[in-house]
Amino acid sequence: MNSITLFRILKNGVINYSRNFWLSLAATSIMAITLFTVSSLLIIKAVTDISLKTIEDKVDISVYFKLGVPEAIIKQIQDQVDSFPQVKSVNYIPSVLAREKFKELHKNEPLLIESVEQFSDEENPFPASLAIRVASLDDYQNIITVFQAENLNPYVKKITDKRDVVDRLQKITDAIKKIGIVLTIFFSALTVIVLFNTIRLTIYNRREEIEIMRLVGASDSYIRGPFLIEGVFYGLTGAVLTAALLYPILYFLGPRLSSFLEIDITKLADYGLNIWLLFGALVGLGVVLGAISSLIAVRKYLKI
Amino acid sequence: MIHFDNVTKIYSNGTLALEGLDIEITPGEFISIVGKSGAGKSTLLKLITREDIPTEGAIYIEKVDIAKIRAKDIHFLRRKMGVVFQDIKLLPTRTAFENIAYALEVDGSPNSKIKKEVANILELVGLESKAEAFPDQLSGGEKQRVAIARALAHQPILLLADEPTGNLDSVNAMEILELLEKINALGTTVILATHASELVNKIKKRVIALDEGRVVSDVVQGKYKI
Repeated sequence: MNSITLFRILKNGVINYSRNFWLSLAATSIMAITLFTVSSLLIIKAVTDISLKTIEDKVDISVYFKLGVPEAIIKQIQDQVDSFPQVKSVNYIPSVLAREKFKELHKNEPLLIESVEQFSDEENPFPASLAIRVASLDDYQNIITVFQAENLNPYVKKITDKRDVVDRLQKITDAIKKIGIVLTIFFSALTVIVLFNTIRLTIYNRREEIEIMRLVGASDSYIRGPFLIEGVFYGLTGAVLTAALLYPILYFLGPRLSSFLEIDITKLADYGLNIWLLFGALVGLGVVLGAISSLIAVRKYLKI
Repeated sequence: MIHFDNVTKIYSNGTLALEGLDIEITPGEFISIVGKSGAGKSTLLKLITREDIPTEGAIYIEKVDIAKIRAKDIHFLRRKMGVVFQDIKLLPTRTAFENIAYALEVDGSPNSKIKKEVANILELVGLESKAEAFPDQLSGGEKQRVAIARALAHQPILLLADEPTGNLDSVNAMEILELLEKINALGTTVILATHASELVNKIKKRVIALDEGRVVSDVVQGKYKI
């Protein structure tokens, strides 16, 4: 195919797009709705992931030591636990600090504060503890097992057992993730089918044009080319339209969403949802969908 | 140039459209195919343009059995011929100029050549002033003249016209006929399918009459009769 033919195919694509204005507008709108749906689902999924992660981060294990366990031993245990790969952080809270925290927590209740201050540092009834955070909820049980083992158990006074909460949380997050995937697939498929049918109708509407082109001696590729270009245009314009709709929403809604969900929405980028990357993906997806739909739809009328 | 060798066409629903056709067409002829609706005129033209293929027998154009041309090469065959239809079939989103130019663009002709040839052909059909008009801004006769101009643009060896005057009044019909005769005089073979008797009687050239898919008469200087 030489350059003049290529140029003519491009030109015909542009002419078709602009002179069939209402058809193009219909196809472009459906394309924008498709892309908007898909990207909204992606964003909702990312926000859900962040929220779940934030909740998971708030769950920690507190191991309280018996009074009189020397600080050196606790530090030793801390180093040991810290070396486990699944452990994210281990915080040592000495009994002095535990008492300060208690006082801070109850600063409006002078009676409680007074009673706590009755004790000298040596008699401090607040146990020293380790606050352990793990990378994944599944590792929670492993850590508890370590402290229940014979070598550590004698030092341990109590492990705050949040297994119920964790179990429930885990079930909810699993369910949310599964429902999210099913919904994403369902709605994406739905809009893609609608998009395909819209493009098919715009081409059905022009089947006689294809017949005419065939009869005046246009080759298959010369007929198909402009329709392909139109499909690509639906993708490009649809992506721009989607971005014009989506980004202001994100911009105005983002801060509100951040404070409502107590998460930082700017973290979206950490979850592969960079705003420019998203635009690139929208364009890519739109162009591919438009081109494939056009090619499939036009094939039927090229058989004359 | 065109040779029908015992051509029979039966459609998939069982309709017998053409039966045992043996026709020889030589270059430069002007042939009128006449007959009632359903006699097989349109089927005959569709077999020549290779929109359809015979059920039996073969059609040779310049000694090539056109049923054997591969689907992706059919456009080479169609560039040898021009087709004019009763329902005109112009591209609705293209101007008169662009419609005619389209037939030249498909084979990669340079723009300078297209510009010159389209201008010449618009002059031949008398529509220089309507070059930038879209089809829905043209009258029926003007549209058909644009369609003829398009069919001629790539200088085909064969012009097929299927009831080109069917939707036109008698004055416009006569103008179209004169145009076809002018084109024939310039050397292009013309095959005209019609049931307009007054046109056929005026032409005084070869007339092939079809009835129920069979040739019932083939006269060199014929008149319309069924």
